[in-house]
Amino acid sequence: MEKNFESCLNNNPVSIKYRKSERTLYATGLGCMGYAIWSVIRTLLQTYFRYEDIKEFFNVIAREVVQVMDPSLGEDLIRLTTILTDILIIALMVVALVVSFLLRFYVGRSACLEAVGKKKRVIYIVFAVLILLFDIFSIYGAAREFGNMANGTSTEDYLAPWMPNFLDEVAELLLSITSVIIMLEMIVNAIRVKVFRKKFKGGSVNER
Amino acid sequence: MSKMKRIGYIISGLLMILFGLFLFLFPEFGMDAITIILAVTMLFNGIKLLVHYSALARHMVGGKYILYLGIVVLDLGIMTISMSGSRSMPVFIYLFVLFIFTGVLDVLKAFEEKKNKAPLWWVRLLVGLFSVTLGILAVISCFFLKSPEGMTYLFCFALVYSGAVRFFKAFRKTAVVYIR
Amino acid sequence: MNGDFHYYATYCTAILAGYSHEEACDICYSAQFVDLCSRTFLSSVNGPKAAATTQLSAELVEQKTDFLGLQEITRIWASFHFLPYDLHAEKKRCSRAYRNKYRMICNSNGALLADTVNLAKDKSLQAVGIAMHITADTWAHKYFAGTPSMAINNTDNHFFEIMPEEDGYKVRPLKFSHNPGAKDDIENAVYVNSLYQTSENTVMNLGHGRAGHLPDYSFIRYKYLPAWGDYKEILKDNPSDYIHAFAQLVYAMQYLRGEHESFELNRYAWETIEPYRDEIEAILEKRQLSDSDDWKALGEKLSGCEIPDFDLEKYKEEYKKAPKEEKGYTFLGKFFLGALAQKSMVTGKIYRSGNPLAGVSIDYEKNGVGAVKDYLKLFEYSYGGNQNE
Repeated sequence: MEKNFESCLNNNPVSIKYRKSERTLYATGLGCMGYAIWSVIRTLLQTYFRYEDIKEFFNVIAREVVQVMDPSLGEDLIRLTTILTDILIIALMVVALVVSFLLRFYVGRSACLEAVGKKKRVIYIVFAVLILLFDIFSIYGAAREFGNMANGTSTEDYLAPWMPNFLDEVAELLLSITSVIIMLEMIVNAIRVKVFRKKFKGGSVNER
Repeated sequence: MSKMKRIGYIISGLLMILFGLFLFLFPEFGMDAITIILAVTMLFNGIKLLVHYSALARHMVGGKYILYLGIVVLDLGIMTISMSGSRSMPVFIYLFVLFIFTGVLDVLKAFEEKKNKAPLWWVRLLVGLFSVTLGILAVISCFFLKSPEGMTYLFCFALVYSGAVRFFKAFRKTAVVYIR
Repeated sequence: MNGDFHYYATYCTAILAGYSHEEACDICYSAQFVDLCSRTFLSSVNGPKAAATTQLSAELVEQKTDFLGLQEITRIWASFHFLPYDLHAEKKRCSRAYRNKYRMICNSNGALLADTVNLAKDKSLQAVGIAMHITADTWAHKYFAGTPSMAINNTDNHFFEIMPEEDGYKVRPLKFSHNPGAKDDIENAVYVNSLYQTSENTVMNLGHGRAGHLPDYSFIRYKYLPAWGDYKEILKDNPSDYIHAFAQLVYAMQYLRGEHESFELNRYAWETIEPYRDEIEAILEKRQLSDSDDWKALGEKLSGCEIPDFDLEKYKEEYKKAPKEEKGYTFLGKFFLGALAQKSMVTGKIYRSGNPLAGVSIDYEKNGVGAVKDYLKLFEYSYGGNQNE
């Protein structure tokens, strides 16, 4: 029983930092995937409840477009243009939603796999940077919108009645800030993990 | 079950029944009242999680999950506040799903009581099955009714039912497993 | 630790320390009884509720985790099962709330251990048994705290068993399941633990629940990441810890019998146990969930007498039938007094260190009223005297 088993512990400062980075990377990966799923649910809910308003808005747009093109055009053509516009806009929204979801889910899943030592590629870090830039832009947009609301020149007045209200903007801003923090932490820790792995020649610190 | 817990069940059961009856009589207040209560609860829980993270969990291995959870719950709370009137349906769906979940837990507990040879295990099973059935029907009808008052009446019925179950639970003899 | 160590192994240590068979039986009964003296039991004998030294699962389920409820839980578990190591431990850049919980972490050879053993000096055999239970648990329950806290007691799936081999050791991952009805599977390294809960103060985060029964198995060595450890791995070498506990129990009881002038921390009776060391190590290293039979056999070999099986009902009638003024001199009465004294001492130390987790402690001689009336029994029975009479 006199054997000393302390040598099985990996407690040098580098290993500890490496372990912390792996865990943070895993947590940010889960956070990113959770954000992706939650964004889809939120968008679907908001679209479902505002569908009539959205439809009416696009009808107005289509009517104005047709009026600009040729006021003498008949109701049938206006109706057709309205339907086509509906389909186009909805299709674009769905594509944007799906792309956003898939991108975030891929980045999150890759981060989790990297954290447990199963992934080697760097492309997800590039996508993480793109998402980060997009989120920063969203924050800028939301800040501008708050400014407009304060000045009484909200987009609500001239763009569309169904645009998010103040509380929705607050919720959106909160999520965007969270996403920025998650992405920043993910990128930093992903790079750290890659640097550490080069030193330890691959694999998770748990395997030692 | 201790005396205090029984008294708690009686009071909370009666309050639930009274609140359900109040909403039934004044359905126009129903949706907003429920939405605000739920939103405030979520906001409070979200803030509680964030405070917990900053005071304690940030020193903990894996504490980051608490931060993310707090933000998600806070965001849910803010989003719930922004939902009122005709946009309260998700609130009801959420509450009815919780109702189904409670029913499922009751069913599982009933089978555990049956294993422990508790005499009236089938009562809990019936209560659980009824909760699950009612919850599923409520969720389905939400998508057909689309009427705020209709959903409030459904919710009132579920609330009064839960309150009554809770009230009668207070008088049940509970089997305590003594572990040596 | 489990009943095998608290009852039978403690009997062995008492015999080796020089106690007679009858005295050793009283000591080991009291040591094991610390794990069973709950409010439910006390209600059944009409005993003082404040003397509870444990809480059953059913009681914990009903226990409130508000401010006062948490103090009640901490008073019991920190006093008898997770004795805090350093009530003045420092942790940089943290809130006071976190520091208070950090200071409740249990470890062996803390200042409170010396206080616990000294409290049992010249007291009843029951008090000795209580002190031995606490001493043993400071080794088994190292690195966990006797207060519900996710920030301190949580663990994750980073658990690895260290299995000695001829030239060194091999490491294999441990898995956990949350089915409370399942048995621990030693061969496949699947153990039961409590479910992860995000609530800080839930009873699921009390003690070593998140590590399951691993701390209570003498054969296992493992490494893991404790929640408070800043991502450092901790090694829990149970065979080594348990033999240190065994040797320290012998030394402590030698001191309590008067063989040593004072009780020193980090001191062990290695010479006394040396003739039996191989047998003790063999029991500790045996891969089985309970060592009761092996400890019992060793104990009977040491004393030459049969060790009675533990019987919870043994002293109930004596206590129930005793007149009120003589209850303190019955077996259970002496145990209750010992428990009250221990709880009072530890709660007082925690409170005076500025930590509110165990509640308020009042100096009765200075401030008089305000104390829980059960503790007044300590004065009724003149607790300063020898209670072996």
